[in-house]
Amino acid sequence: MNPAAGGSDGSGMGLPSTRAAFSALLEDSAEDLYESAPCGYLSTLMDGTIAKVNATLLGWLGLTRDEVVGRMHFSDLLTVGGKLYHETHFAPLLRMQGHLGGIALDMRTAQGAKLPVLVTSTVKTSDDGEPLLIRTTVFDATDRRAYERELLRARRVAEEARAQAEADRERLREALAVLQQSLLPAALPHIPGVETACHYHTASPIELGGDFYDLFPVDDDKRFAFFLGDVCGKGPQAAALTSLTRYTLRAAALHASDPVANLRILNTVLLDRYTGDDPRYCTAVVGLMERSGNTVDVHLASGGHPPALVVRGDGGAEYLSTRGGMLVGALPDAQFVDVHVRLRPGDTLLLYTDGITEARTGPDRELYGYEALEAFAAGLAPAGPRRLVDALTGLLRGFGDGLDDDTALLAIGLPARTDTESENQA
Amino acid sequence: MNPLTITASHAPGGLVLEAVGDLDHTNAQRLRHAAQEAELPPGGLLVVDLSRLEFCDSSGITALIAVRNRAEAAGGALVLVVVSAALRRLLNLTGLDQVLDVRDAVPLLTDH
Repeated sequence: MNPAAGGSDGSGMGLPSTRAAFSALLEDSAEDLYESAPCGYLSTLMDGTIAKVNATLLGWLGLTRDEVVGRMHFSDLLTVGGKLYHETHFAPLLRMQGHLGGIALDMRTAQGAKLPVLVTSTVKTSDDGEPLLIRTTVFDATDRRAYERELLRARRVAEEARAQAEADRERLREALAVLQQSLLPAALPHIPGVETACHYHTASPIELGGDFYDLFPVDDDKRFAFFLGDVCGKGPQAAALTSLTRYTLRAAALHASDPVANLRILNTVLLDRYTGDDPRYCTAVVGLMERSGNTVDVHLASGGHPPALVVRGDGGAEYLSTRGGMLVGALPDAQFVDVHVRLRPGDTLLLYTDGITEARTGPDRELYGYEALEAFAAGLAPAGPRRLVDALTGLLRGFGDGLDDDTALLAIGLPARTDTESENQA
Repeated sequence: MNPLTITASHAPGGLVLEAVGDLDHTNAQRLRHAAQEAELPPGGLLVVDLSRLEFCDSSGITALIAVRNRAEAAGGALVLVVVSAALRRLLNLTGLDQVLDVRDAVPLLTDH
């Protein structure tokens, strides 16, 4: 095989019709190409007088060659805005640089319509560098400009929507924060001779938690009532349930000085509000405390809530069993179980929600559990409320993502006698 | 997160709903619906088999109470089958083991 011969055979490039089209292209005159090019051409003198223009551009503008050549300046083809831009930017830049590409301008047709175009101009110079004339190509940019406008419009709409969504989200966050705060006391009241501390861990900034607590005087600062609990579910419905629960328990505590009776009232109120097909419940510990000499007598009742923990001043920690107490609000004949405990100087009573005992720890994500909590508290004993709550807050933080539920802590204690004595001596 | 699957099997004396996976606030509604759709014969037993349940949160407990209320309103009764220590502890803590019929195996369902 002779490759040269093969190449020679191939010079015809296939079918006869293709060959005919190819030769027709070759015979296409430069003049015809200029006149009927798919873009506009014009040449102007350095003062802008139009010397030559092609048929394509004349067609777009609806003008005749006689009207334009020698009679009009390039800027006469532009809109008022286009003229301004041409005089202030386009022409000076072109004179300076000798070339300007892809400039968006608006032309005006004989009918008065606006024609968006993209303009590229080059200055032709003589052999000695003197500028002779300006050659300009004009591209119809109607579609492109419409596309750009649409892009800009879509972007503006998207930006407005995003700004609105951000504003809405911020408003929602604020509303949730205010609502969440309304479910908890702003500050615990001062109780003479008693130390208190509390902590609320929020698992999610956008989901209202369902834990609650409160501590308040019931008569003349002699007796104080308190409660801590957890409502089922999450979000606004849980918050509504928390609100109803909190205010019912507050009112009940002022009405009856028996924690079991308080839970019964709450049970009745919740059962009345939420029906059988849509039951809602909470678990709660309700307590009443009264100073008695150097000690504080506490009467606690539990409705299905994890047992309170007492951290003793002389070491150790123990749960106060309220086994058998049922969750509140879902069962008509719910039973609640009470327990009495006397706090001596140095003792601290801890109420908590199950966020802490249900937290997952370690590589196997084991439940933290009740035994670990008891051992942790015993390891701190004796510990006043502030120290206990601070240590537990650190423990919660250490759980990281193993803690996915809200957690409330409320601790009530009597300062150790040695502390009081040293304070008195000071 | 384990997905929840609920399988219903009918027997002459009632119905067994087996829930496998995690029962939580994202899917507890499905257990309620499954119990609602089930046609419980008068005096029949609705057995909710949780022996292969991995996790149950407070919304899951709420669903169990709703299912019990529904079964009793229809003249039937609910039996819970619970094996996991965690769920038993939760039922004990909330006192529900005193009002629910909690067993460790699915009872034999026969025609009454």
